[in-house]
Amino acid sequence: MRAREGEGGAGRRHALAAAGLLAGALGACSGDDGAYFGTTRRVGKDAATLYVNNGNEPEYLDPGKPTDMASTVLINQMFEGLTAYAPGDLHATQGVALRWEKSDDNRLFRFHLRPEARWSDGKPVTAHDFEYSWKRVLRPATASLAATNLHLLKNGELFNLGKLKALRADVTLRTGPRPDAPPGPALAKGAYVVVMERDGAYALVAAHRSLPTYAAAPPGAAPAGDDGAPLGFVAEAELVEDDRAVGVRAADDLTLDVELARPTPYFTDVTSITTLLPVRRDVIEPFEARGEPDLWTRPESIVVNGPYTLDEWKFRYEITMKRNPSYWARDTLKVHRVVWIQIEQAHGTMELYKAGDLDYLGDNTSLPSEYLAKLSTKKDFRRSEYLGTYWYEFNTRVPPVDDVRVRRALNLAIDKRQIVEKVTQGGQRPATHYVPDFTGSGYAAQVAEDRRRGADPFAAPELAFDPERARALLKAAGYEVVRAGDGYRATGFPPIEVLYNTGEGNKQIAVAVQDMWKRHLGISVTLRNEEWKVMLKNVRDGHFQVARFGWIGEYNHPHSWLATFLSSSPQNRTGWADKEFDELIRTAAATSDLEESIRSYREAEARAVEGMAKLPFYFYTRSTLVKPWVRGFRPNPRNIQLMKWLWIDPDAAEGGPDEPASPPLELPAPGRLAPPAEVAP
Amino acid sequence: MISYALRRLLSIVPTLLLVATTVFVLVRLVPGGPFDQERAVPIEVERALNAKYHLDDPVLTQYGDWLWALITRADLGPTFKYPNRTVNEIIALSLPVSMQLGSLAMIFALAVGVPLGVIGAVRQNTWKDTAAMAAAMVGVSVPRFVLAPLLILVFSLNLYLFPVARWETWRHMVLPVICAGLPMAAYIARLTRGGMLEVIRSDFIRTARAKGLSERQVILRHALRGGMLPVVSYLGPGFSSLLVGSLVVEKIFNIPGMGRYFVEAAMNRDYNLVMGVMLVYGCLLMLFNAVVDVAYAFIDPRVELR
Repeated sequence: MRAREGEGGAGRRHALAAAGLLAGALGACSGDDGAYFGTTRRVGKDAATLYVNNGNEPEYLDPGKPTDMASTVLINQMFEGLTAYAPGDLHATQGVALRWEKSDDNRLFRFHLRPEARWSDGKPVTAHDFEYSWKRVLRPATASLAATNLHLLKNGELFNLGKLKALRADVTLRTGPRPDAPPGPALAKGAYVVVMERDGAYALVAAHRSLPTYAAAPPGAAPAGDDGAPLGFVAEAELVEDDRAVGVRAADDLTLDVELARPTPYFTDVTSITTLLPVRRDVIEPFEARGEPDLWTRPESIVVNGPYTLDEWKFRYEITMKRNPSYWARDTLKVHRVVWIQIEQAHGTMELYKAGDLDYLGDNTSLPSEYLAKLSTKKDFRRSEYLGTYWYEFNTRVPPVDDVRVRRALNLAIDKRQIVEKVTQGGQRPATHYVPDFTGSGYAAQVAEDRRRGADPFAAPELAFDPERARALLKAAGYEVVRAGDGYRATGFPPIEVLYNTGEGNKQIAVAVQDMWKRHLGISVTLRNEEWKVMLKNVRDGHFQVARFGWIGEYNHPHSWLATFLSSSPQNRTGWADKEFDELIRTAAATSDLEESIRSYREAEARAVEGMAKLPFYFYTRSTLVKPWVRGFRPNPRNIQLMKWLWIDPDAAEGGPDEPASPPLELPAPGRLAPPAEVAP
Repeated sequence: MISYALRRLLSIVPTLLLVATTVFVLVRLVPGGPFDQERAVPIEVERALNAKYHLDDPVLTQYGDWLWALITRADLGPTFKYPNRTVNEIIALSLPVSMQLGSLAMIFALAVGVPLGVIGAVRQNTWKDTAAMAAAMVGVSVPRFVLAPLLILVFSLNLYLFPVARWETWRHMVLPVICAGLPMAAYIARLTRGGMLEVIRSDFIRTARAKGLSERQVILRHALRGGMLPVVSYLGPGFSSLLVGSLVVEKIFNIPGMGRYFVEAAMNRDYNLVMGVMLVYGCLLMLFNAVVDVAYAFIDPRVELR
């Protein structure tokens, strides 16, 4: 999912924000002195229908494609993955899968599916549906912007990039990209090759031997051979797409085997993310054949397997869902209809909420920061941690920020507490590192454990706000900071530029940063704001020194944040590359012991903090309003409420218990996929 | 007359073509493409997407294809941002809403503005004139994004008379229509007053009075017809500006009209949608102007169309 463009959804805004501001300002001061914001009586509304704002129009209702929040929220109600996350803490609970097994090295997974799971047209949900769905996302022709989420499957990345092909027939390779070039080695029909280079109608290929076996390697077995040297040229016409090389297969109707490219201890968390939700081949293919691959999600055609199905879709206005009559846990659903209203402006949403026309502001609405102080005293105000980090990225290829001492000095000269308390005002936690303290999969527990022992590497005094130390670091980097009048001046330090995408929240933080760097280090800072897509282009082209970004975790595991530091990551815009860091991450992912794995991730993170290629500001929070009659509402750090956990107590004038509509079904501990027993010599 | 109207309509075509070409070039000159996003996209995926929408063709081919589809099938192409809708569909859904809002606002503006202007002119330099013109001055000066929140505050949140937002029953329409129409009503009032004042002093009015017609007849039958000329000539651009200006009103009252796409489509680099919206707007603007020119001849006998 795309990282939010700044806290408070501060993204592309224009003068209209001012209008909303005024509306809100006037509205907010008009006699709402009660314990709740607005009415506390639900009048004239059906007791099983929930009214929620969903902000803007979803880009897709097809699970395989979206990267935006509005789509993600809706799709998660309509489709169910192998696992579903629990309300509150997000741990994986039963979805379509009842139980699972994994190998010791976290590379092989097997899921056993629920036999009673049904699609909305009554057909059973099978392992074949999952296999088809995942491979469809990876197919180059699908052109899914979310396909990178499935690169963790064995050969997933090569296949997605169109580089992994099979041979249509027996061929003799050529030594040049011409039919009359001298012959090279011969390859058999069906052999897999990797395309190294494309030259007109010809491709330079190498043999590809690393294929999924779905069997744990016997102890001491050598890993499958890597791709060899290029063998020769073959006509593109001889190459066909063959998705059997991708590491997912239906062993039978109810058993799904997965082989991953690398050890991935958090894979069960990944199975509930939007990209991995199942879709139906026989529904989609007719549309693809007609050249309209995106039209199958219209209400008249869509087939879903989740709790709710699409009833009505009024473009840019309102989406209505109703209970899926075939959903396996249909009887546990207490909300029978959900009306998703689309209002983009937070102020407008608040007015509707106040009048009682909305039960919940929705996952995609941010409260304007100027009201947080006032609203936070209300009983229907909810604030929760959100799996995201706001940071600045340095371009480590350009001076002066190519010097790690300069980057550290810039970090230490920012009073992050001041920024969250005075600027963002959303109760965010100031950050000295990258992975939010409350991240699951054992990370939060490790943080608590480290703190208890007084050994939290990121609570160390040398990471705290310290202008004195910052000046010393700058001096060490060759820029002496001298007193000049009331303030300081960094001798010889060139002015630096902070680039941020247009938005009020980003601007306020940038101004604060500009002031702090000037005040504590005597550095002159210019600010440049650009419209989002222009900024992305400039950053991609390397035209920046310091740029505002952030990261929202796609899954509840530290890997999501730390992978952006890998030297091989396409997401690494800073140019920072560290062999030791890469190695630590690799080891951490391959460690089967969860606690030990997380400790390795923490070690890697410490290494990244030392490198300071990104300057962390704070961990995100979300603030929202929920009417007292909405029950089962537990804020979760992924910030997507599953409607299946919610229910309405129409007579409640006071907030009540937050028990979900039905208790989540726990997923049993995984069985062990053992390697074949060693054969006695 | 008919031949004039036809020629006037035909002249729209080359202008539209010019608009289309300019927009086509401009929108592609802006840095960043429709599929840019924060999370890095493999170059192959971007290539596949570009191929899907034919963005990898040479620009001239793209332009030719686009134009051909438009002329032969009236097809404005797919949108990039909302893959399950076409530009035609989006315009078909949103334009009627904007037209409805615009027409109602126009009717409101005329119903309020013209009488105010007439009162101002007939009772020139009395307190009624001053009051009417002061109100008009305020109306012209207060921008819609200030007016809208004030209306919401008073009529929705305090008096509970009308809903806060959205577009469903007539009650939902009252505030947006007032908000969109009021600045225009103010402008029309000033135009009417000015036009009337000029006409009232002319000879044919004196003649009408000399014939012994009642003051009421003089004003409504004779003076108003001439005094309305500036208003009529303003109606063309006025109506178009209502459609575009509805951006603010549509946004604040959350009305699913076309105004929002003017800015949004460009932000998203949704090339086809930008072109579609610009063309529709250009078309409307020129149509209204043509209609106004023709209408002129009906009202003012001095105008002769050739």
